[in-house]
Amino acid sequence: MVSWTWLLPLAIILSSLIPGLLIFSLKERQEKLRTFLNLTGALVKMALVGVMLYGVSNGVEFRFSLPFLPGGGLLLKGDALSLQFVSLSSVLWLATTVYAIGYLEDSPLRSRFFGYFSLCVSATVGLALAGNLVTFLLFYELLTLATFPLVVHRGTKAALRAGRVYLVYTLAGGAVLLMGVVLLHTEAGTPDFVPGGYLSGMDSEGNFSSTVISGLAGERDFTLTVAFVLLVAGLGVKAALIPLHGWLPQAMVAPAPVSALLHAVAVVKAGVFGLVRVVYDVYGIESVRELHLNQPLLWLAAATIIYGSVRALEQRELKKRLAYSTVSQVSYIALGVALAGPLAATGALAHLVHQGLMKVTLFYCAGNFAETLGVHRIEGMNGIGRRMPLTMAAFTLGALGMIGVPPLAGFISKWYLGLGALEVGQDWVLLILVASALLNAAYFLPLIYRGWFAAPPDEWPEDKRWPALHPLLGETHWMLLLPALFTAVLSLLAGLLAGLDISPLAWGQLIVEREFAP
Amino acid sequence: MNGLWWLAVVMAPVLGAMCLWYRPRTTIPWLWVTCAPALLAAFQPPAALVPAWLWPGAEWGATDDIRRIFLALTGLVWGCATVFAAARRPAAGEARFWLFWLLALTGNLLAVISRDGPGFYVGFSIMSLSAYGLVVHPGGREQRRAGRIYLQMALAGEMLLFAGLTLRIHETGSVNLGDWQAHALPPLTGALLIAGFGIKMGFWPLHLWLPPAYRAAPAPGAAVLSGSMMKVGVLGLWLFMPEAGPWLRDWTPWLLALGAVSAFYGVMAGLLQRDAQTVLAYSSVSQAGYLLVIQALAWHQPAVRESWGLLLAFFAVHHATAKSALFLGAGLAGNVRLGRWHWLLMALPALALAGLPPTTGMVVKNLIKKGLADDTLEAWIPLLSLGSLATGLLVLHALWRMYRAGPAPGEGDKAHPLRVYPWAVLSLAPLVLPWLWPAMNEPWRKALAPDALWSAIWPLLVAGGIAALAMVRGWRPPGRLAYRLGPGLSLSSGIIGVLNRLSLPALEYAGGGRWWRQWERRWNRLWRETNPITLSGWLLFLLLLLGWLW
Repeated sequence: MVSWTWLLPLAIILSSLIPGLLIFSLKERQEKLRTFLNLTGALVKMALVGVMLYGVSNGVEFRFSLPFLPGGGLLLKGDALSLQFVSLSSVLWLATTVYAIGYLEDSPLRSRFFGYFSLCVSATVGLALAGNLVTFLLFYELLTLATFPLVVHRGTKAALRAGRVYLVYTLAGGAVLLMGVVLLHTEAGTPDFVPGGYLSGMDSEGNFSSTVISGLAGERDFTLTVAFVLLVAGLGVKAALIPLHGWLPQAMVAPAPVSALLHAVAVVKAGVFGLVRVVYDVYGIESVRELHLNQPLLWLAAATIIYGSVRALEQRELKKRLAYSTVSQVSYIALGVALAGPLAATGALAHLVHQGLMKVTLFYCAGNFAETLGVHRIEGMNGIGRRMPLTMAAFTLGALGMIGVPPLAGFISKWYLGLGALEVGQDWVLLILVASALLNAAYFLPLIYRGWFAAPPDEWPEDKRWPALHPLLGETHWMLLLPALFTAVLSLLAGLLAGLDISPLAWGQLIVEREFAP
Repeated sequence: MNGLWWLAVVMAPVLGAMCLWYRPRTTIPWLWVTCAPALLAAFQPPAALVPAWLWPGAEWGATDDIRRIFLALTGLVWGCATVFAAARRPAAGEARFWLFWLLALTGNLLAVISRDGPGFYVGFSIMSLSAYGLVVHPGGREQRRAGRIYLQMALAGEMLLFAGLTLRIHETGSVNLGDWQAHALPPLTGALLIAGFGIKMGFWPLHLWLPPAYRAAPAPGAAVLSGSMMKVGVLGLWLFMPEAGPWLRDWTPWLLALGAVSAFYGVMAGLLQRDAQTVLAYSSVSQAGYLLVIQALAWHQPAVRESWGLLLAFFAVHHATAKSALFLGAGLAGNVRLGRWHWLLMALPALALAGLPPTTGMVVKNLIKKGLADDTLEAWIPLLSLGSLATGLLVLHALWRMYRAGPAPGEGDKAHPLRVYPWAVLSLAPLVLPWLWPAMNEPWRKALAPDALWSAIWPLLVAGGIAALAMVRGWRPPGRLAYRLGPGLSLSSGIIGVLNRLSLPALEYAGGGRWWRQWERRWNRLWRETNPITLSGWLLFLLLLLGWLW
């Protein structure tokens, strides 16, 4: 085994951390250098992630550790599950960086923005690569802190208010998560994440035994249950499970690239990713089932799905509608995790990526509408497809994918979640999926109708033009347009070409094979 | 032929759409070419293709007769309608219309050639959703409302199918449609599938979307909707459901009754209409009833499933060609001067629907009658003759409405040849198909036996007599019964109303009210104004005390 494998997880984090720190030191007008640093970081990270993907699919182990706390070192590890998240965030980071450069052209305080932006992604990647709970917690908190300046970036009253709400929610969530981690640490220490869950492999005295699964004696059940509830509550804040979702719709006042970051690349995903880790790699599906913890989680996820959709239907502001839609869609992942069966898990893991691709597309498009034409509300979208056909086409793909129209990515997720629900005998979940799809249709299709079929207004609120790269791409700044098209095409391909070995679905299957291996 | 040909079948419309984006003017007259690969594949079926890189389980092919026949009818109807539509006068939003047209075609072809359930569903959904663009194309209040109910019911159908699809995959452990036909299924899954495909077929009471949509769509749009897309529902029902099942046999009388109600309801409602396309739409509701009857009979007699499958395909081709010819004809009659020959050609598909010898209509009616001769079902036979009579009345009414809707003598354009030829091809199909199609030749000969011939003709003679009487006496449907929006549209706007009123409590902390902020400020002031170290000391002391007490 070559010795560079320990370096790779660290390098992946540093590939965005170093450019981030350098950018803080730049002057505002050093635009070219800043762009260069940003893009180099993003591309280097993509390349490194590509190497790691290749390695992990061939069974190489990437592991980097430092002593940090007694009984719980700082550990970075690249496994299949972490790569699902890392590859999503690094691809979307590249797209979002390009988008943000276009979006923030000529606006003040860009060094601060891009600095925190890079920190945010570093924290996300670190959290994905974290090999044990303590490391996870560390990066989870860093992510909260790195995101706050982005949420309040505009400095308006609404932004500051949203930032305060964000902090109240996430810091409280972080504290609860900390309590959960500490409780679990006192009970079982902090071993590495293990596919199948390290608690499942322990007997009642806390010793590992390789033969028996689930030797959890009755007296520890209570502690483990409390710890689980604390962990889920802490993670549920970022994952926007009801009733902890309140910060997400508030935070939509942030600039569009930040919304993309919150909803698709980093924050919300960090929450559900944590849930996946806790259920699969800490507790293990067996123990979660034995402690009867998956059923309440399932109900919570189902309630969130419906609640988020109905709330989205009530909103008349485009970004707010999208925000509630995230509340609903992210819970598909929680739902798949709570179903605790291999097919549902595959669906959940695929949806982790699918939701990211589709939602980021929608936020890019919403940002394009706002930046180019000054359209923020649903009523303003009438006939927007004639002025901005490509953006509207990308929006349509994203929205149809959210509804679950085949062959887009959302359909594949729903297909596996539905089958997974039937597999474990929870047939009612199928009804939830159907109801959610109908509600999604009810709040997305009118937008598509307005965009393509309604008559455009005589005059747009504002109408910005930029020099175009190509006459067909002239509807908005190319740096705003191309990321949206890129992710829209990806969310089409993720569904259409789901049978390829590199599709999110196939990777999800790979993870599940390792998690559910006997 | 190589299996990769299937890629050409599916990709042709997509490529067409791309060309359309670059050069709309030059592309439109050539768009009919996108149907050619499908027609070729239907007559020379390539080997099955397993595109493993698509969704899991994807498989394309048309090695069985029923798929080949449906593929051929899809290619024929879409091809003719495309030529017809391309020769129309372009209206506003032409590019959008063609984009939806080509997408719907892609979905339709994909559904027909898929040998896996999800693939069929993918095609079915693309087709259903894209057809919305055809319904609302001309734009206007009526189109918008028709489009709304179309979309609502199409989505409802999709969801029923999604549930049915998932349940079916779960039950059989396979995505292959061939396996599904061999596996029995529980009543719930069956009901979901029948309702889901039933919405697309449009039999009573799932037809609510159909009359408004066919009325609103431009003539070629209505032609492909009724000619080809509705048949995908028929094909889906055939492929998704098993060959037989214990409860399926028990359901036969109910399904037959549903089919019969649909057949007569369609006629009754259609006779009250004044707009030719609406009359034809209700005729489709009526014909969907017959298709349901054939399907139900196939479940009733699984031993002779093969021959029922063939009959289903016959009926589908018969209805597809005749009905799309009539819709195209209605489009022509609306603004073009038509001569005597034109009207003769128009009457041919109309009367074929009613079973006029020696057309395809006679063949299929005769075959259904023979199938019903099973002793337990014999009682249904007289209804069939009555059905021919009723259909005869309805199509005569449709022809009359078309004639009346035409331009006044001396006005109107001369018919454009590119609109007349495709229409003529479809119109002649009911007459020439029994000759050209070897499989249909033999039943056609049998149906020409004297006693069978008489039983086919008398309902038409009676219908003609009643129609003549109605014309002489000037009978009119009461005006207030003519185009009623029906329960469908009020239901549809009711749904929108409910959705707009839906509301749930916010359940979120939005930065706090004034009261909360006050306390926050006080707390901050406390820390700023008092000595933090002292305060921390006190806090620590209190905590220690608490720990000691506990």
